[in-house]
Amino acid sequence: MKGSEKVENEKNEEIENVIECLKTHGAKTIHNLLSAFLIWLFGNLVFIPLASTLNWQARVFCSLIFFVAFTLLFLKALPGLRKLIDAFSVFPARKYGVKKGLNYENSLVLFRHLFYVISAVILYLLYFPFLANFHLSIGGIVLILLLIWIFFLALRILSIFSSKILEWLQS
Amino acid sequence: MAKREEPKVEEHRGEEKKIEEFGAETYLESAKALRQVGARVFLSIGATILIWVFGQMLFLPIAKGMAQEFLGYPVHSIISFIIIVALALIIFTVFVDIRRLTGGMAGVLAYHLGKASGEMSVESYKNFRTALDGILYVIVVSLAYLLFASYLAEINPAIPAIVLILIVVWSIFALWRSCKAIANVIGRYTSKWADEMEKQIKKA
Repeated sequence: MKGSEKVENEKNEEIENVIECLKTHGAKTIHNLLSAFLIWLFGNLVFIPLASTLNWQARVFCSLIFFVAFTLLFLKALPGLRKLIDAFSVFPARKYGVKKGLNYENSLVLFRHLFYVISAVILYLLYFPFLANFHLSIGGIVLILLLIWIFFLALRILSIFSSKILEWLQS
Repeated sequence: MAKREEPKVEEHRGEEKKIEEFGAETYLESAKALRQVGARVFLSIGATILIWVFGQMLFLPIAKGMAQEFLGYPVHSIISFIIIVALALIIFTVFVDIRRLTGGMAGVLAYHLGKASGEMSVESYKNFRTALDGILYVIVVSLAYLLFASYLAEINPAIPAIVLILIVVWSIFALWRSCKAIANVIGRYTSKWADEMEKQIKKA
C-alpha cells in the first residue's frame, strides 16, 4: 500500500512540476518561438529573395540581420523550451516506458533525449537557409557538429537498451 | 441540487448572449469597414500599379533619352523622384485604410475564438488587432518596396539596399510585437490548461 502511495505522490509531484513549468515558462517561450518562426518565414520567403535581386552583398547582409534576430529570440526561448521538454517527457515516459518493460528513470532519459534530438534536427533545418546564404560549407560544418552531438546522445540511449540488446542476442 | 445549478446556467447563458451580441456587432462593423474602405483600397492599388507601369514603360525611357540636366541632376532621376512621391502619397492612404479593415477582421477573429472558448474580452480583441496590424503592415511594406525599388535605383543604386535594410530591421520589431500580442492570447490558454490540470490533481 505504502509503495503505491509513494508512486502516486511522485506522479502528482511531477504533474505539479509540469503545471509550474507551463505557468512560468509557457507563454514566454511560446512568444519567443513564435516570433523567431515568423521572422524566419518573412526573412526566408520575402526579404532575402528581395535582397537577392539587388546584389549578393545585400543578400548576405539581410541574411545576417535575420540570422542574428532569429538566434537572439531562440536563445531567449531556449531555457524555457528545455524545461518544458524535461517536464513534458514525463507523459510519454509513463505511458510507453512501462509498456516496453523499461525502468521509469531510463524511459524518462530516453524520451528526454529523443525530444532533444528532434528539436535539434528541426533547429538545424531552420538555420540551414541562413547558413547556406553565407556559405554552403558552414551548413556542412554545423551538420557535422550536430551529428557528433546526436551520436553522444544515441550512445546514452543505447546504454539504456544494452541489457535488452544482450538478452535478444542471447536468445 | 438542481436549485444550486440554476444561477450557473443563467450565468452561462448571459455570457453566451454577450458573446453573440459582440459577434453581431463586430460583423456589422467589419462589413461597414469593408464597404467604406474596400473599394478605396482596390482603387489605390490599381492607381499605384498604373503609375508604376506608365513610369517604367513610358516616362523613364523618354527621360533616359534626354541629355539635359536640371540643377546637376539628370532628367530620369527627377522623374523617378516625382513618381516616388506620387506612389508614397497613395500608399500612405492605403495604410490608413488597412487599419480600419484590420479592426473589423480582429473583431471577427476575437468573436470566433471567444465563442469556442466561452469567454470574450476587449483585451483579446486588442491583441488580435495588434497582431494583424503588424503582419499586414509588413506584407504591405514589402509589396510597396517592390514598387519603389526600381525608381530608387534610378536616383542612386545604393538607396534601395539601404531602404531594404531599414525595412528589415523595422519588420523584425513589428513581427516581434505582433507575436507578443498573440502570445498574450496563447498565455491565457496555457494558464487555463494548467488550472484544469491542477483541479484534476486535487480531485484525485
